[in-house]
Amino acid sequence: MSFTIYTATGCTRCKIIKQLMNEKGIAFEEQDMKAEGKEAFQKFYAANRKAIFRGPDGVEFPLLHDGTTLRQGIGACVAYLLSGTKLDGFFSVGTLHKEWVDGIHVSGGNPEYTTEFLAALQYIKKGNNMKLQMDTNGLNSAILEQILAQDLADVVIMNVLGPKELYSQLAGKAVDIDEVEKSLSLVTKFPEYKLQTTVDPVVREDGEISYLSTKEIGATAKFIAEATGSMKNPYLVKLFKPKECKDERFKTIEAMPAGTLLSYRTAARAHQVFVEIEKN
Amino acid sequence: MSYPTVYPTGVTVYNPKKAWNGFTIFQAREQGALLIDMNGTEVNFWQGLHGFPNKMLPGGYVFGHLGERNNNFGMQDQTDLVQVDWEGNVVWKFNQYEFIEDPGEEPQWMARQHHDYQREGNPVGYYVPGMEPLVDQGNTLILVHKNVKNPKISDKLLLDDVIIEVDWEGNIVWEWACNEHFDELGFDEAAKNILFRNPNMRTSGGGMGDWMHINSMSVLGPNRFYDAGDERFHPDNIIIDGRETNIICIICKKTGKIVWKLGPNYDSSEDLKKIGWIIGQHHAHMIPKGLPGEGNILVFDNGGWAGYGIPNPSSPTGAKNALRDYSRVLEIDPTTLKIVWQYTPAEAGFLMPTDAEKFYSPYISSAQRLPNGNTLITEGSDGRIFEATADHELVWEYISPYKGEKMPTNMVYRAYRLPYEWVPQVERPVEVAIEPVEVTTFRLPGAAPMGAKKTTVIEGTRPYQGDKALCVAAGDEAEE
Amino acid sequence: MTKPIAELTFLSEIHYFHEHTWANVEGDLVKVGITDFAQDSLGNIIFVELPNVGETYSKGDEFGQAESAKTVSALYMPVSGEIVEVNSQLEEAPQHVNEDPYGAGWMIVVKPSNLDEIKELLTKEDYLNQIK
Repeated sequence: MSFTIYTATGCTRCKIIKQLMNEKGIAFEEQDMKAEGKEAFQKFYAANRKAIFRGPDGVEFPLLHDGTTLRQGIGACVAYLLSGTKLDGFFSVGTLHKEWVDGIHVSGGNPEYTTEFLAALQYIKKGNNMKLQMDTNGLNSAILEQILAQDLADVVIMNVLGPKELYSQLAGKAVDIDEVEKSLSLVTKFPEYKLQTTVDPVVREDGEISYLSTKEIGATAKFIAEATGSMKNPYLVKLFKPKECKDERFKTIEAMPAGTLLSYRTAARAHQVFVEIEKN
Repeated sequence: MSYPTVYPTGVTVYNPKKAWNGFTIFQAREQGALLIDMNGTEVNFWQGLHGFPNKMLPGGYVFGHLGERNNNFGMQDQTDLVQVDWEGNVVWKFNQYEFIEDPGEEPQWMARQHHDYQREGNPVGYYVPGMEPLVDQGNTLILVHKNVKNPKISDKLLLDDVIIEVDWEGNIVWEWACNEHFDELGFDEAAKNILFRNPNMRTSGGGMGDWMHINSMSVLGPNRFYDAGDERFHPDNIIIDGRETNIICIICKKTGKIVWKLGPNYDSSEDLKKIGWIIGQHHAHMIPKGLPGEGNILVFDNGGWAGYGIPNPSSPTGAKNALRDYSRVLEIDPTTLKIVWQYTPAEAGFLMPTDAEKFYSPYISSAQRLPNGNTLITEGSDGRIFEATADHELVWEYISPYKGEKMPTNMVYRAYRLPYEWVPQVERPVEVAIEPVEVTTFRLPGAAPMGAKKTTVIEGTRPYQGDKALCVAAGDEAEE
Repeated sequence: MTKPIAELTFLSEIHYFHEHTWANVEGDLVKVGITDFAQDSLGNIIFVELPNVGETYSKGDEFGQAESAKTVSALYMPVSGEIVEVNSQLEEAPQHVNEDPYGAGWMIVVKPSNLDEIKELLTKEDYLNQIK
């Protein structure tokens, strides 16, 4: 297995990954897309462009390739180098810069590998002085508890998918609602946290697809109030963006006009007084 | 300029034949909402009902507020907007805009309303034939405050103006925030510079920049420009003015974009130079269809001090860099930008420019067009409400006798005239003319009349000259 | 780093579309690429996605995209018509667009459905005014 790392001149995250490979004695070749590696990167990009993530600032570096597997961004690269594919799902490419690292999904991976996950976070945060922004949808609450205990997260964003009754459906799998409640009670204890709900489309009993109703968002806000014991959480209600959706069923659904969120805010306000709505 | 210490209050001038007779509603300073007839009889007094402003609705209803937020934390935030009936029952209330927890105060929902609101059915909040505001249904537009951060404007906390539309049940169905349209307001670099450093900082709540200070918000309503195809004047569009920025503008209801604007600069074209600097203005609104002057913009151009721009000797920092020590009421055609009618110190009969400040309210104030072409003007800072005909004749005048204790002034923010029919609870009052007093002969007990006991004649005196040689030049003397 | 407009090249004999593509009439066909201004703004182009021969597009339609590490930019049809040829060299050597935007960096050849559309395009001077 031979590693190639694609970097951009001056990219600190790239240096962190090179350092980790050196520590572990992994041999690698570096291609700097702004210098001598320009052509190599161009070829690599043309061959892999569907798998390469582009954020608002373009291609995110580093890109790590071992001949078969591609990993992009500091989190995913660290995870792969430390634990191989075990941590898949916990990391994606983030879009934050400077000292901030995001794209860390507490609920996204296999809880059997909690120890490995925490070690990867430890390496990024404590080993390299980065700040971590994580997200959760309430699943893997035991991991969240350990993250709190070990002081690994600077910001936690919790996506509260919807009201209790719809949670499993919105998550796409059976969810133990106690887990979500536990995560809610934990999330308020982090140095900084935010709660948010996207007004998602839902397949109803009769097969019709419709967006979460104002009543259901009201029920979500109530659920948050009960689980956190507070009506005053920072809470954001967001618009669903069909174009960015990966679920084929919802790609063609009509986007909700932004003004509609006003009525959702009214509904959520009764239980979360500081609710804000997403602006276009 | 000297101001007499003794002067009558109440109604001082009244010509029933030329006035547009009805009731007048205003906020008696620190007392409540007061409804008076043409002779000043206090017909109903809603005690303690705040008014920013008070407005009446057909059926004897009055709008107002149950309270104001503690000034230590809020800047002019009214706790709510309420509609109260003739007997004082609250029949409609809105307060659910922001949940407020001020130190030492009961946590509560507040509307944070200030300066204006409009009930559906009527675009401007005053009497227009055939456009009655709804009293038991309909939406209400409310001007409210919100604290925001916007690094484009300033690094300081801003007190932003937001317009919300709420339905009868109190649901917010439309929202517009001024700070999100900063780029459309047309500030030059000098203005942006001082605005960034000092966005009109006020001390409330630990300091916040009341950067725009919108003091008027009304709907255009049907108008001849839109009828002729000019989309800028869509009847649903909203006109606002910002005291601190000298801007008057129209917001497209559909897109939120600013589609018509006067200011912040009044030097940039010949038309604007002819209008001259509008400074610290209040109550800019479109005269509704059905009233004389319909379609024109009526505004109380206060003068005083306002604006952001290049520093000058009177404004070393460029904050409030436009100054004028008299007021003007202007009626402007929004398409030609021509002044169609005006009431300035000159029309009021004062010697210009030396007596100009005898018509002057540097803050608050308003102008209402009446169905017979008269204009009801609130010259607010001295509590003077008066009615002038199109020919500038004074046909009614009232000086508020209500002086505050917490703020020792008889100021009136904004008064409105309404038809007798809007108050079915009382009989049509008797109208008694009040002839203007001849002040040269009016004397208090003990004061001597005019007339010298002895007249001494000197040989060789010459006749007096006219007004061409006062110690100060008239502003426009060179142009004559 | 982008260059000042004075250091960029704009040919007189070709037509310009306001979305930064150019069109050059070659017999009854039209060759299309992006302007020197567009390639300079994009920076190092690492991939060009082009349409398939035989597809038809209307004027103003997106026919592909040019990608640099920093941005992705859509490519717009200056005229309506059928794609009769694409520059397959760009697959291997997208840098041609940076190096020679009016020559080796051409992108597609179109059989126009309405040659009059050429007249609606901008001249060099019009285009320069637009990007100033």
